[in-house]
Amino acid sequence: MTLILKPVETYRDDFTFSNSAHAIARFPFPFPEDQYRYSVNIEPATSRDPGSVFEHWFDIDEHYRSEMAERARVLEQDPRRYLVMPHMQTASWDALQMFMEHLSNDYPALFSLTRAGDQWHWRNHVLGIDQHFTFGDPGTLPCEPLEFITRQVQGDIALLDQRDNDLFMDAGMVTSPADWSLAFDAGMSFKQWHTPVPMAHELGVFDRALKYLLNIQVDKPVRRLNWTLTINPRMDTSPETFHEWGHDRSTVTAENAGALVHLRVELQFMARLPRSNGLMFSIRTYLISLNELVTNPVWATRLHRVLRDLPDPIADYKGMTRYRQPLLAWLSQFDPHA
Amino acid sequence: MANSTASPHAPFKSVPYYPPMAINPDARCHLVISDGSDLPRTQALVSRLAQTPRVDSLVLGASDTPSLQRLLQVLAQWFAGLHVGVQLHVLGSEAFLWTIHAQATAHGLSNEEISLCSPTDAMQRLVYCVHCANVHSHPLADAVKCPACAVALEVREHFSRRLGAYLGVCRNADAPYSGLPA
Amino acid sequence: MNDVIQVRVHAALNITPVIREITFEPVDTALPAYSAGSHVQVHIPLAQRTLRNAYSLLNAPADRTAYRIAVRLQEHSRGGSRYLHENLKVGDVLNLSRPANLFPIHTLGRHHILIAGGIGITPFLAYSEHLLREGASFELHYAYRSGLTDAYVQPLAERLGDRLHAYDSLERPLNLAPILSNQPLGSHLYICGPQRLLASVREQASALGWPDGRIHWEAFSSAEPGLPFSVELAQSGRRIEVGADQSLLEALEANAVEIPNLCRGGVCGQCVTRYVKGDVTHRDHFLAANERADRLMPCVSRGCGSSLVLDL
Repeated sequence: MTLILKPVETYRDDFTFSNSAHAIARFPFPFPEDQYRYSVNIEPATSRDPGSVFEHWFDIDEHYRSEMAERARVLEQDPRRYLVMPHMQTASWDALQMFMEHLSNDYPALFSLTRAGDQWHWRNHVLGIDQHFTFGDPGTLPCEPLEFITRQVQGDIALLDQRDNDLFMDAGMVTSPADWSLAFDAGMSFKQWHTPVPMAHELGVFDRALKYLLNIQVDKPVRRLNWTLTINPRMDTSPETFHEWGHDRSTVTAENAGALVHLRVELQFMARLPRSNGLMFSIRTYLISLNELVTNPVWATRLHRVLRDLPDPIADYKGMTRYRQPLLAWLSQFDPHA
Repeated sequence: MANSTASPHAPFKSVPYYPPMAINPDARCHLVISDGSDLPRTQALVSRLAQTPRVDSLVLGASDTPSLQRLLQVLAQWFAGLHVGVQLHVLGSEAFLWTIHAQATAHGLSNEEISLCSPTDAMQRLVYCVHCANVHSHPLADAVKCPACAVALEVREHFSRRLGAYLGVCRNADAPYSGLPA
Repeated sequence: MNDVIQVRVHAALNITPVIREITFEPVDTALPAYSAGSHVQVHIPLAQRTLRNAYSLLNAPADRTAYRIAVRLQEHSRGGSRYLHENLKVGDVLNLSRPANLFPIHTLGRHHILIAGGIGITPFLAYSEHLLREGASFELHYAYRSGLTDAYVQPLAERLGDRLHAYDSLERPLNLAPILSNQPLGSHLYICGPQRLLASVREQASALGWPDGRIHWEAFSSAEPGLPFSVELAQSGRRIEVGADQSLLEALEANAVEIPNLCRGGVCGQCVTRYVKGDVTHRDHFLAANERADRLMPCVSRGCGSSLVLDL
């Protein structure tokens, strides 16, 4: 099926972002049952369901132009959203190679890569980029390799250094985080950067997850889904800008919840970076308004039950405490047993 | 917010955990660095180390290290001439501990080689304002006002060793700039 | 199933009387890239069964056109190294596991000290290429027996110049104290060789104040034969016989019980399995004494005496 890219829409100010019927149909609804529980829901990232978000390692969808424009805007205002520590150079080139190989192979109409030894030629037909460079030589690119490539892929990217039997957040491009700051978390170990997550530490979730991630092998990536809620289709829900967007949460009513509240799903993907032995952690974010979501009645009923029964600490961590009641009031109309 | 230092998982979370002082009996050289805020404890440590092969100490405010800048310079010179087998002991305010920690790791020391003694200023802490990226020292409190950008911050139980500071995030997004005196 | 990579033997060369270097080329697609220190498991098709032995990859990690390994003929071989020495021919097609790295270079190291004993040189061939490419500071100490395990002395001397320190064990024994003293802050130490070399380097480094986190090692151990025994699987009630020159892990695999594993030599801890009763000869270098009360590593450890029951 041909991928049709939309013209640029906005994730701020007038919020013109919306999903086509096709995008709604392929939205990765994250709840397999009527109740949400923490689990190490990691699975091998094998390709499945052609056309779905699970087909390719790096999913490109109709919002490509909009997301790349939004990333450029965020970086212009706050360059600290991108960071690479000096020992992450090999990992950066690994990441560039992984993206270029997969994107050109999976989306040949959008991207192309030709190579003769270390002489590479990359073309991004959507953004009009045509770049000859020497692989491994940062001087032949207009900016650092990780910045160059992550300005061309949807989703936030963190590169994790593996050492001392742990993972460290030592590089990344993070312009659409769900309330975490790369500038603050940089350099932290796996458990350190997960400190703000409630309950899970006590359940031993991070011990099991870390052990699993440390042993990811080359070409055997894994993935998991995570979710939260966002008011308006706002990509940049960073702590850096919280004082500008946090008040949106007070504007939700039982009447406007369908238009304002969005389910935000992260498709997290973790792959071994072959030569550096680091890990790529990509966080691909999908937004859907509840008005769009309830066009699927099974999703509508289930979302109501999940949010109604969510433990308070998790609801609080996900930032929904202030508007949970009006939201549930609105959602209950789609639950026949409510 | 829960006091996570009381949790058995404290050492694995980001908030700093200062274990009781332990001396590596095999270290070939011990360095004691103090900001001078607790000289009796510094002297007690140096005495305890008297039996080890080599002990050097630096105290902020002493004649050869009158300022922090000077102390860091001397320390950098030391590190350049040292070999694996060093244990570094740091005493002082929390801000001082993490300043020295950053300098030591920049010269190749690992956490195993650095002992941070519990800070002498338990009633102060550094807070990183996530909005303007400035770090300031504040009295211990759940909420503080950033002197640089004036946003009233909630101080979260999340600590960056790299920055030596706690995370401060706008506490009331409906009125970011009001509620607390600077 | 893409858990294995099919390769063809491109070259096989005896470089000393006991060391054979084997070069594999891909059968269809390019080989996965890997990091220095990685190993692969070679699936060795013996007449009765398939053995899987782990070998370090030697070549420059950026090279995806070939994998090279070096195999030392083991006197107490269960048949794997003997097969690779005596039966394997150019053109043969074999399966390899995907590369995995249990012995990576520390990314924050400011100076790297590599110490190899005999065939333990293999991971350091890949290390040297990586460190040269990165322009990193390092030194390689290589103890060998001339005419037997000195396979790579000449090429390394040409490639590394005075970074190489060679020790013919009969002429010039390895003296550790000067190597471990006076190394700059931020140095990391890597050891690969026989157990006694590992133990002696670790012990001397600790005594000189080296913290554990700066000392990295890879033991080359693999399953050794023992007496036959039988094992019962508690959950399925099945009973499996383990032959004298077969490991428990291999016996389980032969009966379609797959257990995650990487090193097959008792060091990585991937295959740790719980047992509910029975006597065990523990041969791993991973489990703590108290963990051995109810856990074992089937890649090397064996049942003995009373019947062994696994929690599988």
